[in-house]
Amino acid sequence: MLLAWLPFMAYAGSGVSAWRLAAAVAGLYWLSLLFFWPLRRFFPEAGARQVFPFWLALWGQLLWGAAGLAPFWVLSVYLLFPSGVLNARKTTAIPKKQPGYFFGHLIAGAGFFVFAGALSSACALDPARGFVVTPAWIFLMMFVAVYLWNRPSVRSPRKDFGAAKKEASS
Amino acid sequence: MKKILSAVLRWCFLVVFLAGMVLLFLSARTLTENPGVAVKVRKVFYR
Repeated sequence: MLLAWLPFMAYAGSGVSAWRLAAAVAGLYWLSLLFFWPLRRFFPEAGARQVFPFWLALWGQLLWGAAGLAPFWVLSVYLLFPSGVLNARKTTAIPKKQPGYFFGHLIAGAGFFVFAGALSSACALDPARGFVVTPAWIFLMMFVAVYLWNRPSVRSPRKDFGAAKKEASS
Repeated sequence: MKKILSAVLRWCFLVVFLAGMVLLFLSARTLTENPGVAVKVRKVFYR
């Protein structure tokens, strides 16, 4: 989610409303999910995966032409979108025994809206706009994102618990 | 035979999907070339 927020840095100081942009990202994310989720089986093998960037480019281009909005925001949708949905017949990517899987991803859109809006508003509080638009800030955010991504206790707590138990018993 | 038919139908779906995207793009571009609409869309995103 933090990585998906990074494209918002490109709009810092350009007069774009972060909340409205976050709403556009969440809206396109939901639209893509509602569109590709039921139709993924009708595409050729890995077809949805190849079509998805074109789909995003279409929406990016439309708002670029209409509102002069640079299309970095579609990157946020790309980073938010669960890749398992785009595997046409490799259904193993989507756990069947989790009925809340789809709704979990739907709620992630709302979560991103609140997260991106609040974080961008917090950055706008920086009166001098000195630090939050610098590469140092972007790299700091990337570091935090990568750190959270790679933290094993977050990724697989049960596995770690099992490993710790094994270590304790040996 | 069933496999071939399935593959052909999938590729047909892909072609229809791409054609739909092109149509959507062209119709939306025609709409947003209207300066009144463009100004309204711009106001949505810019403060």
